[in-house]
Amino acid sequence: MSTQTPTRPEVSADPHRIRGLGGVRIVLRRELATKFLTKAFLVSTLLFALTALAGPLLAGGGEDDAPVLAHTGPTADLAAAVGAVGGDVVSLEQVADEAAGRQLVEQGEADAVLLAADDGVRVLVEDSLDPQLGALLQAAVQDRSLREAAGAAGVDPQLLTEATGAAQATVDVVAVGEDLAIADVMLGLGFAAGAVVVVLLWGIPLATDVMQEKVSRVVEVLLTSVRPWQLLAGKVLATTVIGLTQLVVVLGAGLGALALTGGLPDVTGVSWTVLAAGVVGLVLSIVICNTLMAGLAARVERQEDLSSALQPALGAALVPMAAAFYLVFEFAETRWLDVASMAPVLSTFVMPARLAVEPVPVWQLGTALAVALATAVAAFAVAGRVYAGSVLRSGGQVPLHEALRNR
Amino acid sequence: MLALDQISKAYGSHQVLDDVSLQVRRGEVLGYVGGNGAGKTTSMRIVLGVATADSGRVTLDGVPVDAAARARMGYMPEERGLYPTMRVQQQLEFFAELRGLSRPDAARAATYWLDRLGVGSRRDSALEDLSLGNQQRVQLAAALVHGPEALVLDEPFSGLDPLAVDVMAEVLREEAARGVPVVFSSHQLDLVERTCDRVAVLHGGRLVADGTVEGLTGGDGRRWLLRSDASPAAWAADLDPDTRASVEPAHGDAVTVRLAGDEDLGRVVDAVRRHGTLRELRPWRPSLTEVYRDVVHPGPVETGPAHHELEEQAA
Repeated sequence: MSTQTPTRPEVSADPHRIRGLGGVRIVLRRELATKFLTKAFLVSTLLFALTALAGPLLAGGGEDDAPVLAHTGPTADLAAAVGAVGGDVVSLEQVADEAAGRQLVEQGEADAVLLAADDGVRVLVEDSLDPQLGALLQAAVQDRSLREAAGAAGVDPQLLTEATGAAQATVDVVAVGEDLAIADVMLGLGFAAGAVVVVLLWGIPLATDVMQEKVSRVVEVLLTSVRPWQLLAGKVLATTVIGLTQLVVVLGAGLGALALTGGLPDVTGVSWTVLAAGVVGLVLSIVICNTLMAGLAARVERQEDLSSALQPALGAALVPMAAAFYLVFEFAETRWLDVASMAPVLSTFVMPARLAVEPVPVWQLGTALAVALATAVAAFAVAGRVYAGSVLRSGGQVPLHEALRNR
Repeated sequence: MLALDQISKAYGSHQVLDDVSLQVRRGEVLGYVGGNGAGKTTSMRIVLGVATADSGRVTLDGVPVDAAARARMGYMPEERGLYPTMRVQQQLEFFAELRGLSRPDAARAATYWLDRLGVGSRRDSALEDLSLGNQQRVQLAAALVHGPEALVLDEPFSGLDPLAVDVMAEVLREEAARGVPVVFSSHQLDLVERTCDRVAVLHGGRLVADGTVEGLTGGDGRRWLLRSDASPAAWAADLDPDTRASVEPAHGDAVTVRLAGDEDLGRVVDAVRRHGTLRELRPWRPSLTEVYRDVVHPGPVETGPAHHELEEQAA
């Protein structure tokens, strides 16, 4: 076989190609070539996307429970009329007075309270009037006006039409809820949850991969030509690209399904600041956590040691996400939220959601970004040190303090 | 020339390498032998920067080896360092690029070496789907793919079938002929004897022998094999004590004798003839295996002269 082979090709090795980012690029390309757009990636992405598609489609366009319309004594007739027009779609609940109705709305147990007003009716809602309920109410009010006009002036079609017109402006919708842009808040928190999902889905395989490279000693060959930080950077970048791509595809499928069922959320009110901060926070959160994952994984050689070694990195994803949810709902407009939104590790998870619940001074936004970038750099420095100090040391788990001290 | 210069390394209280100095000249194949735990792998890892020495230095052509120089070396670790699930050709291209080759060069070199080592038909298979012997060929290809300036191979022959051994030995000789210093470790001493220009023996972290294969296996005219019907104990009593002590049974009823001091062959022959008939007498050249046994587990009397001579050859 060897007799027929072509002559040995003249090749020239240029060390500049592997210096600095050049080496990172080569590692990144290998990671993408072997993990991105592979059969496994395509199948898992397709499965997630199908799940995301199926959710809204099977839920039938996101229909809620029947809206609850509360009413007082004076508006009982009108509420009954709404119920009659709407059939079973609306459930009615009588309250003693306006205060009781307001309480129900604030607790989320009623969608609207119907109150009598001098010039028609007043409707208390938390945020905005449910469109379906609004249409039914409008119809019922018109119907009542029509009956009153008919009773007063006989059955003159002309008068009826005028009365209909006159009834148009008498529904006065009053929002009583806190000034909480719930769509924005969910968007902000969604980014935090998205980061955790990507870290769990892709950070753990990344960690396993780092461990296997160590066990198979491939890393010994790799490190004769590239530096540990180059390997680490290439791997983390590739994993981040892969994880984000999958997230975008799956979210796209979910939104597509919502669009098909007509349940696409109204995005006109969404704050672009929350969106932009969310995207930046998402990317940085994933980079920071994946960096820690990869660095810590180099300490171990066995799968059963891996999960305990990864605890700090998993904590760096789960704790900030929990903090974001807790602080935004329980500590809005407090110092706690302010501090958390600018604290290392926490800021990328908390700041997008904080932007949704309260105005944030520009300097605090800038601080949060600077802190997040510094955290990423610090995570890379620490992970790089642990990686370099552990990845060539075989024989059980490398203690963290020794990993940090080596090299 | 690739040189280890007074390398020492300890893991805790365990001295793995103790002042090891070793040279591999350009165009030379050096066999690096020693028992398990002798320090071969550690010293190779130090050459490649995978481990760091406590003291001493590694030079290539007199210049201390740095990261750039290491990237130009070819290395084959003992525990095979390849990606199990990655396709073979893709894998070699990656390693070539990682050593600074352009993408077209990497592709051409990968193709060439897979063909040269006889695994070209498996280039699109995942490494783990190849037999262990073929995986090892790929491993060697990975060490060669960038046209290295020095080759450091840890146990490249272990687990290979005889044909693969021939191909690999041929390739190593070719690389040496190209002017590359080649060093490989092995427990297969017959193979080392056949393939290498020089042999270095490491024992307990110290270099105990270093010389040409001819030099070590004693082309010094002082060792003889003889066969007679007389009892060796009887005729050996007539010799001077050092020579007497060197008489050792060889195969069959033959014995070997090393002429010590100013003992000459004539006196030995006379002594044998006084007690019986001399049947066979010829110069004795021990195999490398025997030399190795001698230097690693020297007998009580042999220790002195054997060591002296070997160290002289090393110098």
